[in-house]
Amino acid sequence: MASVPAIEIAGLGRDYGRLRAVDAVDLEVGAGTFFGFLGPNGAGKTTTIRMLTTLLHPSRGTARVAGLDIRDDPLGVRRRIGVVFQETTLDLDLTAEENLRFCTRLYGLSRRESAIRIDEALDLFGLSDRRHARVRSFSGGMRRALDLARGILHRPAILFLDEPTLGLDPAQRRRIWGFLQALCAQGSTTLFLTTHYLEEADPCDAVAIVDHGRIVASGDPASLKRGLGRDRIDVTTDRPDEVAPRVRELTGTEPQRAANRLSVFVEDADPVLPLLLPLTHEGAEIGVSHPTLEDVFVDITGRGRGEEPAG
Amino acid sequence: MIGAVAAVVTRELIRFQRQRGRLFASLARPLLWLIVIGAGFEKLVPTEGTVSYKQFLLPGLYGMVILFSTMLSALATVHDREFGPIRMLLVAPVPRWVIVIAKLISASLLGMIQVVILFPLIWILGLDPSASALLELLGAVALGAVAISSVGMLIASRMRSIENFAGIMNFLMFPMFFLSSALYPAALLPGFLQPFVRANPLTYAIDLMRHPLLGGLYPGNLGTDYTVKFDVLVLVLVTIILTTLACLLFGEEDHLGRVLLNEPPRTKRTLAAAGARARGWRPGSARSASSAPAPITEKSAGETSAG
Repeated sequence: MASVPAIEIAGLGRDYGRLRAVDAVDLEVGAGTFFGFLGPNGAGKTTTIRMLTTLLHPSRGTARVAGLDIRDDPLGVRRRIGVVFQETTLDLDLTAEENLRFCTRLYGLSRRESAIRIDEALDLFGLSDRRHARVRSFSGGMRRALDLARGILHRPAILFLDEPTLGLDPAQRRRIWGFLQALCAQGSTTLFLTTHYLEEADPCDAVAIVDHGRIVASGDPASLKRGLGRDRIDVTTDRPDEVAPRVRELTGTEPQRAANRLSVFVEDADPVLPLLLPLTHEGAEIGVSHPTLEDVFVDITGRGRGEEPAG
Repeated sequence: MIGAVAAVVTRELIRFQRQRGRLFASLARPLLWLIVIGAGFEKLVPTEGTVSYKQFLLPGLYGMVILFSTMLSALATVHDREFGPIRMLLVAPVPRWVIVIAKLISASLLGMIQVVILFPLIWILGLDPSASALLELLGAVALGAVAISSVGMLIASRMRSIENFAGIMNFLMFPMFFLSSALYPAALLPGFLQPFVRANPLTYAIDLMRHPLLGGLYPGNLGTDYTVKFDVLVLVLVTIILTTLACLLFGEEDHLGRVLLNEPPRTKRTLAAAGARARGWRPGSARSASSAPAPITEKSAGETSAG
């Protein structure tokens, strides 16, 4: 017996004047899922999240969040969700604790309950020793952590995170992801996050890849990557134009190009590698790895990061 | 709902208490006016009867404090909405109009506090109001603060960004101050200015403060323009109408969403491209370029606001 999905989106779209930011999104996210909404900047991720969190009216379609319609019951939806924005929402002149107390008040928590939750949240995000420090003195990573703490204080059924790792250094990004995975492991919260760092989304239970306001692929990261093949062979050369046709000839598949790297996806690299070895005599380097979510994106959209769409 | 209002007011009070510079500036301005303008005018304006020009000016300066502090608080809502903690409110289960009311209350409260800090000037300038007159004055300050805050909230509800902040200062706040009864009785201003003076809620707020302070004393050419009843009526009406409008406009979620998206960004394309480049994604097409969130916009606007 399936429970009510955390999020059901049907034909959701949004225009800004003539600009079609989100075309039509259909999606279902099960309760308790760690869901990644992926795509390049400008694909419509933030607009979608703003519609789901009742900050923007959809131009068409609708969605149910925690079982409630975002058009009919925005207040009810807001009661059940937490939102962490791209940019911090913290008041830099207040201390960590004061910021969190501001928030518990908004959700009508009692003084006692509020104190307990604030202790818990500060503890979970490793900020207990900074509770009386002004947020202005916090590093980017600490601010983001506090923002996350703020987002879960009222124990939302669904936590929306818009680019939670944007602008953080790799160590801080890993820390934030650690928090998110810990949060997800507790099992009671559905996480819906957007990121344009596609490779980050591997820990997600399910992802949807969005491009130009439409979902172009969805599923769990492992099977999406598996769809390309088990192995990825990279041929790095300073003459990609000449080498590309030969790679195609030798392997029988069209290589993906990213600058001077040519990648082919195969089920098993072992029999293919010897075929490519002659290229090494011409200065090419050959490496074997596994496909990434970014490869999936490139494969589906036919263009690499930042490339113009074909045609 | 009360929790939300309390949360906002508490936050503003904590901030106020920590921003010593803001308090200093808001208190220094009227003192400067009192010393420089007050002293100069006192020589020029022959006053009849027992009211000196400085005594006449004092309620005008209280009006100035109310005007600047409430307007700045209200307009800070715009900044808050774009970058700050108001977003916590926007995604909390709090109806939009409650946010307006909460902001209105905190802006008014801060304005009142700053006026009360300047209350000792009453005695320094040689006035000696009775306890009941002081209470009336306090009521007048409160009503004036709420009315002027509602003007600020109405403007804030329609403003998209704080870019034109200087414009607001120059084309709204200074005219509001000069075209009021702050410096001279409204009746003394020339006819073509009268409509502006009469349309200005600050005129009535200052007039209302003058009644308890100077009321009994004034027999001469410096004095109050309207009756207490009329002042109260105008201020209450202004507050109700403007606050209702601000609630309605602020409650328009779509407008809010656009404000949040900072649409239309100033130099949309370049900023988006720059922002995207910094993060490793170049815009895939013209379309994605123009809808890309532009954190650069945030940063530059944030710097503007810091000044």
